[in-house]
Amino acid sequence: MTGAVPELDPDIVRAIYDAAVQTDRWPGTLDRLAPIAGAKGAAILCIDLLGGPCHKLGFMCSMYPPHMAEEYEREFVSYERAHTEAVLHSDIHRFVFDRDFTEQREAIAERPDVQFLVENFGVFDRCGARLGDDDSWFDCLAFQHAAERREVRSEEPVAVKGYLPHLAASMSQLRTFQRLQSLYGAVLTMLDRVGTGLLLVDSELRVVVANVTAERLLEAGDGLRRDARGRLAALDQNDAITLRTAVTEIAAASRGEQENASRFFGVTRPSRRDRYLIELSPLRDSRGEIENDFAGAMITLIDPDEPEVIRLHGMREIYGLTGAELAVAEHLVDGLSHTDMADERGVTPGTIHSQVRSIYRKTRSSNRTELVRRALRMNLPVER
Amino acid sequence: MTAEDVAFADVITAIYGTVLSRSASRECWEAALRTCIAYLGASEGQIAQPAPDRPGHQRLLGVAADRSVEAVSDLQERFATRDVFSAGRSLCLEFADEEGLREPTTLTFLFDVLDYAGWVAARERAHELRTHIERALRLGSALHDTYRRHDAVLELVDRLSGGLLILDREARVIVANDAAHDLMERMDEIELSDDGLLQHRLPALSEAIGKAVDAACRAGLEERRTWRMSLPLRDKGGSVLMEIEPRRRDDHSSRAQEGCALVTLIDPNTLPVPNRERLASLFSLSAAETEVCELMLRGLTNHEIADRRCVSTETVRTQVTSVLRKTKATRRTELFRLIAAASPPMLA
Repeated sequence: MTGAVPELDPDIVRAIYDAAVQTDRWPGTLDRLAPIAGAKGAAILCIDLLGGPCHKLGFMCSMYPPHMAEEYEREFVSYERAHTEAVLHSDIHRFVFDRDFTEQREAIAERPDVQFLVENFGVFDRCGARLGDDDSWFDCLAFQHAAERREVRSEEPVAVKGYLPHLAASMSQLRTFQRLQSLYGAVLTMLDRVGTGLLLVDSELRVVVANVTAERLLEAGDGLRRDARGRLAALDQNDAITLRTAVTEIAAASRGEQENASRFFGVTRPSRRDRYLIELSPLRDSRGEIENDFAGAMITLIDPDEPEVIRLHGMREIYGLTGAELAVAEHLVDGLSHTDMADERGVTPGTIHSQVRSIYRKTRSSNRTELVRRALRMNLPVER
Repeated sequence: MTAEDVAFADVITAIYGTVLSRSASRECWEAALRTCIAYLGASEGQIAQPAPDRPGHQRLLGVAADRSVEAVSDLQERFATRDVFSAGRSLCLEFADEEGLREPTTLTFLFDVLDYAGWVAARERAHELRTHIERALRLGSALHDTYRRHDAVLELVDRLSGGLLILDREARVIVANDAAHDLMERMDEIELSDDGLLQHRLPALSEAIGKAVDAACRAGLEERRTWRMSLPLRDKGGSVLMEIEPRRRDDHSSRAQEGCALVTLIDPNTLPVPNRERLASLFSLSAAETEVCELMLRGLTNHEIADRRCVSTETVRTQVTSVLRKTKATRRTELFRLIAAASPPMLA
């Protein structure tokens, strides 16, 4: 074995980094690495070291069809545990073979995982190397050699050594992307829970983020819409001017060039319904994490015409109302008289009267107004 | 350093090393450029990108060869020849962004002494580097863009007055907004374990929360079920409402995000105070009417409002009628509902 690391093929380097964001490119990339290592198959295994003993499969070369990979993951992965452990505790970038950690070489051929691979893919000798030295995860590049070539020389996979740091860098970019994207998805889910329209726009009114309520209002196109270039636009000329002026001022405020202030105004709707109420405020960077070059505004968009349905299930839970009391409380909040409630529910006004008393007692309210106030407290204006 | 000292692998490592650098990307690029210069045998180099918010302006991502930024305009002039062997001995490569909407990014190298053969060789190497630099810039900006959106949305979520959390199947907190942290601190009942698991002081409640979270995580996206529980407060009396439901939208999904539960914490003892300006603007109320409206919302009777404002009950009655007329509400309870609809769940 010579000390020189073979030259890198720029095409393969490009393929490795492309796969960091386009994970469907891994099979093609691994297909190109396998022959360099003199192997028939290649795979990258990713194991989360903090998340317990779970063995998560990473990426496979195209020789392994997904359903077979899943079968292997389900039925046979436990048999290669010792091998995985050996790779994990070995130096990084050092290829470890099955035979390197077991005394009984004959036993290898008897292992169900090895048999599965021989039967289905004609591979026998296997080796793996740890890609990085991070404590929280473990990425392993593994090669599987053709079964007819028993006793693959240990130095053979060395030909891919030059690519290992790049595979490690690409995997770490991939993880960062995936983690960030799933966090982003999680916070967006939170925004969607809110029944008020919420938007983030940049200084040119381009919509950066909108929650489902905002999307719904924009899609209705009743006074506000998203134009062809993805910008928030008001249909009415005057409203459009007000909106543009406001966002310019707010963007300036979020850059710290102006006093921090909010702007309120109404937006006329062609349907002649009550005007939308818009509130713009600067997106101040309290966590100090937003990049300096982002100057924008957060917008809350309220449709006053949308009836606020007060749901009392939360109250029932907290104050321990019975089913009947819940129904009566709903009528109370809706403003029905005791007589109407009795008619509606087919009971005597006396029954209603005692139920109402019980509701007031349980919720510690002295009258209907107070009950409604309590009900409102329990109702975050959230999407139901 | 000369070309022989710097291997292709080192340049590649330096170039792609810029991707995950979130801050100080300029320093990082300058270091990468220095490696490129050594690899090509050039004397100077720069990457210029169109400035994002100033059309027609360039932003220098990196200048190598110990030049100050002031000298850059001079450098750009000398670099004006594009990919042509000339007296300037410069090599300028362009690459447009994916949509071709922006001005192209330019990559420029300057050589002190170079014969034609040397230039041809350098040109070939530089073109190879260009493909990698382009990729690294694209990866970096994709990551940067997601960071930016993520931070902006987090900022918004933190301004919501309701406590919101996203938990994984084991009730581990993935993300929680400020209101949730505040409420948990005030409640003094719920806490996060060392490995980030949400736990209640009472084991029975902890278990109930865990079960509901697990069920919500397993529920399909179509399922609209809500698990509600009342969490009693230790000393203060009263309870906090916890609502657990399955995550809703799946277009941002990634493997790691599968099976999350959305948890809402509501403290019934705090009523979001409607913003005075918002009230007035929404219903065109006068200053006096706005104040009367606010006092009504706090549950004061006409008598109490009159006392508070030092006016007659008659005046208050007129103002209340006026508020109801302007808001088109027939009763007080309806007014509350209107105002609740008009109040975004934001912290003041």
